[in-house]
Amino acid sequence: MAWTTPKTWVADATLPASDLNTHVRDNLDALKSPPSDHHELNEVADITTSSTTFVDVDGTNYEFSITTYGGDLLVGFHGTVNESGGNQQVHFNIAVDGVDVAADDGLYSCYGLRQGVGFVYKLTSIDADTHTFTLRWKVQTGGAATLYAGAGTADLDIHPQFWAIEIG
Amino acid sequence: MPDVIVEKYEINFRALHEELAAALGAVFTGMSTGRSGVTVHLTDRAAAEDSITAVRIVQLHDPLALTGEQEAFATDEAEIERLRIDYARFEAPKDFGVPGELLYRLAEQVYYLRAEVDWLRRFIKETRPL
Repeated sequence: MAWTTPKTWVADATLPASDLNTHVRDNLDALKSPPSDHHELNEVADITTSSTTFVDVDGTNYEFSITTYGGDLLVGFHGTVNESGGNQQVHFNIAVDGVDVAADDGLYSCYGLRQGVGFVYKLTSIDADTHTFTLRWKVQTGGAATLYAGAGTADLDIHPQFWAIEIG
Repeated sequence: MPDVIVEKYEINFRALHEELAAALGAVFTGMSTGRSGVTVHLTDRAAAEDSITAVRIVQLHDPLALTGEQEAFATDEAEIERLRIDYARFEAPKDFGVPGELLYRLAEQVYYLRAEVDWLRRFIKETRPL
């Protein structure tokens, strides 16, 4: 349900049911159920990369499309990452419609063994359309990072989540 | 150049990375593993022949073959294990007297050193090259 700019009421204006439905009911529905999606991983194997350029973390689960009404969105991720050796950076990024949001080393970085990763990023002025959101990552040269993906690893059977929601 | 995906799941990550890097050079930017098997990441400068080479290397990869670094690590780990004495019981400092006495303080230092060595052993296992 799209958001409708609320009508400006004037003195003695009539209040037809259609206006109430459009400007009150439908807008409350829009606030209650904005476009969103989310995925939690529950894989048979954890995910590992040694890529030094941004690549998809999981092109199946961590790439989804939502149809937006135009405006701002929040995109978030949390998980646990292990960098083999514990001395190389692991960088995260988000791609919208196949284009990385940030250049250079992305939006978020962690370092070391078994690091909790969590970030929320605000995307602004996204037009009304169907957009694809993808979680991406890379490592510093010489590194190899593992995202624990609910694959049964002892004490690290952790289910990371990637999500997006339009906020207005 | 699109990623090269090969359905192979039993690999030695670090060894395969090194094999691909040696064969492909600058067009190789890394590899990933997950539900699809092995994904080899190549730059736009990669030629079709590079993709073929990547597939062949992944398919022929022996997951049991170790890199030089992994072999050295395994040797060191085995040597540490060989030298280790598995004490059935490790006496607590209180078994050596009362707090403040010289022998008690010595036992306390040994006790904490042992805890530190245990922690280092776990750390070394966790930082084993992938």
